[in-house]
Amino acid sequence: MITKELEDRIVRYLSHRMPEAGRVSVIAISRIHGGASRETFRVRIDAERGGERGLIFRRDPISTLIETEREVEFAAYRSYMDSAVPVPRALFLERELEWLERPFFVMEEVEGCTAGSILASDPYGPHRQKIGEQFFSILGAIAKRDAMTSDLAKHVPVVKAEEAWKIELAKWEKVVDEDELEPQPIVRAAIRWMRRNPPPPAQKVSVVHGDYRTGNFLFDGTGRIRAILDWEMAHLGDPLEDLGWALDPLWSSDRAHPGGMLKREDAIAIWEKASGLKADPKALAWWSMFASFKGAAIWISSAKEFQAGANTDPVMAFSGLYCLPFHNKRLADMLLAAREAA
Amino acid sequence: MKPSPELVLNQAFAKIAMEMGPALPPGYGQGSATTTAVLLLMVAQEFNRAADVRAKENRVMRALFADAAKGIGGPLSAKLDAVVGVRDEDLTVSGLDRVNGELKQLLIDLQTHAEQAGDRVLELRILRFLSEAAAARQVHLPAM
Repeated sequence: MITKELEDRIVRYLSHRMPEAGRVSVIAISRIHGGASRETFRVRIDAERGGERGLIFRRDPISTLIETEREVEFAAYRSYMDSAVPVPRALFLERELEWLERPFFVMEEVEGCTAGSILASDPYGPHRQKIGEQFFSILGAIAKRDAMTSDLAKHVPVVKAEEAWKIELAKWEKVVDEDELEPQPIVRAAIRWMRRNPPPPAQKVSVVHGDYRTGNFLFDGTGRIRAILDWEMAHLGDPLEDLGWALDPLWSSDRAHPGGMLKREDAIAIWEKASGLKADPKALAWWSMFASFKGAAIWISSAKEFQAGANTDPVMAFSGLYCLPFHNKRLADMLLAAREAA
Repeated sequence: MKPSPELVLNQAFAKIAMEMGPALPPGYGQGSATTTAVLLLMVAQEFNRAADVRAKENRVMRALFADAAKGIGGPLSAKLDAVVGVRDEDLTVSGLDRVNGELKQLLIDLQTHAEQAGDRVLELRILRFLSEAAAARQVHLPAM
């Protein structure tokens, strides 16, 4: 709920952080969807020096998130500022509680844009091809960047190429261990299969966005992608992890076109060209299974949060009721196909 | 029960998604209203089938355990035998869910055993069951 008090707090904070702007007032403030794990506010301000501008405030939730995620997301945005990967300008990271009661960070708003929906039959309309080409090309650019010189590398563990898959598998298995409300035979079978059939070492250790999909980028009316968002799960790892995630069929009701954009083979070709890497079919098959497993782990966790009353955003319930059965079915079919072929 | 729960929930979905949600200012509130409406649509699908889906799963798992228990020994065999022939008494969804969870834990143990023993036939039977069960639990949404 947005209160006058919140508005006043924002004014006080901006006056403190931007003294050069002179007197600041809030013209409009509204809460927007920006990932269920962090409160996101769109704030339109008018500054005595600088005039009107739009800002985005991303505030930590009351519970659950570990401190580093906020730092990671902020560092990820800064890793790609002024690069071929479009991101909003990350302005301030605030750890002190005196301003908004919880830590938060502030970005410039990317205006005049919209995000696609995974439930839309044709989220990009006439711009489907153009957006798809940019989407997979930008993903290639994320992988191409030297990860070790990025801001992000200062905030997340550096991994070895041969251990990237192990670390991610263990990380999400732990989530399932901690959050499952009922036994998950399909998810457990997938974990065992992936451990018995590991992928080859990563071609390189790159920045992995961690949630690169329809719904997590903004595009304008001409079909130009203006911002890649929601970097809270960013880490260093195998770039095929992001490709497998982006290609997952959950992200569009049009199953023949991952994300509601391009044919799978066209998307892979664009990514290969932009990244300078190869999407080895066997390795990508492993990371595709991992994507559905990681999705299942997130949905299991979301369902627990909702069931426990820790986060009653309806998106959390949607995740448990729609997304988890979807990924369970996909995982079961992949496991069955793999066993029949063996 | 008339009007039927599915009808009530579907009408509530339509009311929220097509009348109340669009009347809200664009933003978080409108998005939440739409998602809440979709939840009603999903629960409507689940309401009528929930007990049937769980009872069928429980029956198939017990039959699978009956066959598998013959071929394996040890404590796992005893655990499988203990649930073979049992009938679901509590037919509420929560009651069926509780038993379903117990059986699925046993299924995990059995599947792990089959993988370690290289019992391909049993592995495939379990995987086919899991695929069919997962299909029956999927929720189908119209493109919006």
